[in-house]
Amino acid sequence: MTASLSRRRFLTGAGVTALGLAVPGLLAGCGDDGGAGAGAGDGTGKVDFWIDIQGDANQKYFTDSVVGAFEKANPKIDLNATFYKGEDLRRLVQTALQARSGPDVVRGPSATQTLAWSKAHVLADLTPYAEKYQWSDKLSAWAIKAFSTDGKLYALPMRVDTMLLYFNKTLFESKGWTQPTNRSELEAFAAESAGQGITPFGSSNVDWKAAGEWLMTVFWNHYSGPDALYDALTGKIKFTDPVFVDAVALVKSYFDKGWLAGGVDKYFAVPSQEIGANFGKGTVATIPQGGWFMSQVGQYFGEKAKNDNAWDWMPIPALRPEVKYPLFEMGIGGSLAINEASKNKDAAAAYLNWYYGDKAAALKRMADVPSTYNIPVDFTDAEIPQSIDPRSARVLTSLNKAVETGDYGYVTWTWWPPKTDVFVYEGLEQVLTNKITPAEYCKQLDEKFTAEKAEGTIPQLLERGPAR
Amino acid sequence: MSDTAVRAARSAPGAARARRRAAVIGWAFLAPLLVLNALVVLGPSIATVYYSFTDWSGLGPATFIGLANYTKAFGDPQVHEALLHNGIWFVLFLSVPMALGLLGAHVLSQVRRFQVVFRALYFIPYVVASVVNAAVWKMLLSPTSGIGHALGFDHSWLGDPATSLLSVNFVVNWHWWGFLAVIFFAAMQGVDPQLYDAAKVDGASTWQQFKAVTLPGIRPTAVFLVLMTVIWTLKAFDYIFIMTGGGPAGSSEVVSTLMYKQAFNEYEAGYAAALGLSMTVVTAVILAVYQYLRKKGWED
Amino acid sequence: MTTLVEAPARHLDPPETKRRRRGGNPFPSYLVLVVLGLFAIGPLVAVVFNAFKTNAEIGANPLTPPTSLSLDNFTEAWTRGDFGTTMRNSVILCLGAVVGTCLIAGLAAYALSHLRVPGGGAVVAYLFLGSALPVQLFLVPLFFLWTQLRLTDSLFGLIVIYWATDAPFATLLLRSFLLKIPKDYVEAARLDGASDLQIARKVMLPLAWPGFLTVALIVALWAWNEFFWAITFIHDPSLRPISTSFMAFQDQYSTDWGLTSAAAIFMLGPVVLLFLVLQRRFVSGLTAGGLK
Repeated sequence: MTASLSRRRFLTGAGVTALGLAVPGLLAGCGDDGGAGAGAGDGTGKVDFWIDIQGDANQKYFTDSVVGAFEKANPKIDLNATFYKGEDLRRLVQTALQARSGPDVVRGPSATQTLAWSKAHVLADLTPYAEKYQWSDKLSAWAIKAFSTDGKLYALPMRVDTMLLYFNKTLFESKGWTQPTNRSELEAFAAESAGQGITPFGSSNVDWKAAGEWLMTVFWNHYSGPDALYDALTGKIKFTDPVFVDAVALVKSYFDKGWLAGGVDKYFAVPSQEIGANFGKGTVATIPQGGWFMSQVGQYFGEKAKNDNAWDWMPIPALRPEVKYPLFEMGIGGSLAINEASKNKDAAAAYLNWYYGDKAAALKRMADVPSTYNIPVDFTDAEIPQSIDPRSARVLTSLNKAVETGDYGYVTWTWWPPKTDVFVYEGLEQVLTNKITPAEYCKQLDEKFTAEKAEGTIPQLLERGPAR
Repeated sequence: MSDTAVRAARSAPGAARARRRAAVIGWAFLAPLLVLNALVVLGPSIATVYYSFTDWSGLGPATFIGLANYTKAFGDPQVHEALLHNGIWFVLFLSVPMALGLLGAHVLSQVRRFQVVFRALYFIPYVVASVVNAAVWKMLLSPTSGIGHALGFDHSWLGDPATSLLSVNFVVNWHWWGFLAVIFFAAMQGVDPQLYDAAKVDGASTWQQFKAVTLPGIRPTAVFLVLMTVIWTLKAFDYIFIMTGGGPAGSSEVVSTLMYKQAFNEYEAGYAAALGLSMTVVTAVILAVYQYLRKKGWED
Repeated sequence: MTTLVEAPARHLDPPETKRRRRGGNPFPSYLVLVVLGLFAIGPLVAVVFNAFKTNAEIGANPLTPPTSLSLDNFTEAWTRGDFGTTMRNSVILCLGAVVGTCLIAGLAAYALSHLRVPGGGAVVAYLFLGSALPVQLFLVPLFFLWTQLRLTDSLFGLIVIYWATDAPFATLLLRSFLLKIPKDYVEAARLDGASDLQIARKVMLPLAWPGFLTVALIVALWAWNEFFWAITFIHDPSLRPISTSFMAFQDQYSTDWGLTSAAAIFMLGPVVLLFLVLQRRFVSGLTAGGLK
């Protein structure tokens, strides 16, 4: 059908072409693809997958241990992975989805943005597959709920994210610094470190414009606290509440003191590679970063980096007495879904089922590579393979505990609606450059949030408490 | 066709037919260009016009909302700021490379040796890809490892809202001026040296010679290059996008980067389309003004 | 003034001998020229230096000449960036773009300069506008259209886009070039009974080929350096152009400066050489074409 359609368009010229372009926009309104119905067999053939694994070693691992392992388990399916850079990938996938083309397995953005994609009907409904493969038994409840809307599952969570405070262990030992657990200890450490010309907290938004959302996540969770955030996200209180405004002011003050990034202008100009190199050398003491950084941080330490230093991570200190310590904010980095226009949905679903369903393979991946393959499947601490780096294991066990006890927080890129989340980091830039005050920032944030909440584009939250 | 037949064809009855035939052939020659343009540019642009009147997010269906996007753009402070930056960019990009180009070309035409070498050196930045130039200058402008640092000032050129736009503009000027210099130099070669001798005899200084002999002598080329520069300046996107992404805090945002962000980050593709169209109208106005000025008296 | 600059299109090189003689000290002039030269070439020299250094050395001394010349970066960048494939793809893109654009723009420019086409003025104005549009304007609808026509992930599909985006400027440039060809030549040929196509081939083309050369070089340059359209429309790694190879060594967490510098040399080397060799022709094409 597509062939004759295109011939027709060719012949009738620009005007109709334009019309033809407008029409699919309207046609993209609902309607499941009549093709391979969900559940009709296990699928065979070629499955295209675009993913943002970066770095040669990481790409090789993915090709061998993910694609290779999957194809061994499913010889009839040919998984074809292409690598992209993060920023490019989202735009390219989005453009392709709208044109009803693109990869079969979609590596989507954060939960809320994926929700927007699903509302535009470019992602296949995964509910039939979830039922067929019993995914609710294999994945954590909080993650599944975040990706369900109107009773339908529209994507699967790609990676569990949390925020950690990485620190140069050798430096701390040589300076006799202990790990700070509360605000006064943290600020004492920062003052001493800065006084010696060592940047206390390394940070930069040069390579990833959205880096501001990491900082806001840290300060809102560890200052304002997850209970306050839960109330704000469910609409019980507003983001203009002083507990949030004060958190923003606190971030700004750390920048103004030169503790964060060495100052605002460095935040905007020094690339993360340089910060990493300085971190390895010991001129940057700590880096507040996400769990995903663990697969990158190793390159700055040790023989290859020409230093004798070691890194470790500590939980981020509580910045207010009311907030628990240790506290781990949680979220999902990215999603995996199936393209509504895919001609091979069953095979794509088979891949997803293998990725999430084969627990042994999943755990092995988590042990081999820190954080990249941390998926929210249910497992006990005892099941973690011994080969894992102990620092990576601690993340898994800490998160397990957090989920069990309910002591977890919320990362912005999972639980905040899409436009609000964009404002989280763009607005922060304006606060840091003194264009708006923290109070105005929170006011605008609240306006955007309220508008999007009314539209219904926010993921569902599990109630406070254990979240198994 | 014999001579007489041709002459006969020129007279009244067949003349109109011949003119029509000529027009048909003319349009036939134009056809490939126009058809291709309609397919690739005009068609999608019309779709964009349509989307500018909707609330399209970039995905899925679009509902008609009339002029709402345009009224929003009119009052949007981000748009105002971006337009201001476009204006600053326009003025700088139009003047600085031209000035440097004329200077370089003039001085080059004064010396006897190594002209070929200098010409080659000045030309090279122009042929290097924007992605390469942007990456190189990002490194050179770094506050901790770039040229500034090596010379003693640790200023964060791209990270300071006050200098971010100017810094990117500086890089683009660096990329463009050599091209102008080389073209101007060639044009200057076409100026009769006797005119210079005559001016010198009259006691004209170097600057006066430049104004009275060189500039008029290269006027047609200069006019053409001004037009090329005007066209290029409105397309400013690559360098800004790669080097600062419009930041920090929108300090180097121009309308094209704002459009991009609205379309792909903010899921406001309809609004982005409205911005794009407004920009097109502004471009058309500028080009029209330029043509008017030219017709009025710039050129002989 | 018009008499001076209306030299026939066959005029090839600027007369090197018509140099101005200056009495007095040339030193200040050379100083200015050298400073400008350093300004122009300095950054790229830094790239060349860094291409020969190891990453550790670059980290320590980003702006100094290398202490030893190591070709490691070049060999590693070539294989890891798959430059063999991408260079080949880019050459194909350039050739395709050049041939197509010259043909399309040539025909159109001839029509707009020598044939009495009603509405020609409007077309010229439209072409000016078309050259100035930001392409992000119609990216998504175009991608949609290309998907329907199955022209994505195809070098030909990308070449067609280049034809459409480059032809307006190429047409304007060629038109101004052709406007300088005296009408008598054309009239004489017409009187001899030549058809328009024959006139185009036998009279215009020989006189206008410097203009074509200039257009060819510009279009080739744009096609070689182009990045944005390429990554949107081409996803198959075996079809990617050279600009993507250059970007391969910069990612979110690190930029391998040694490899990136080597990659930069691979990317800018061929075009720089090409332009250095053909510089005079290119420039005369633009100068002569810079009228009307």
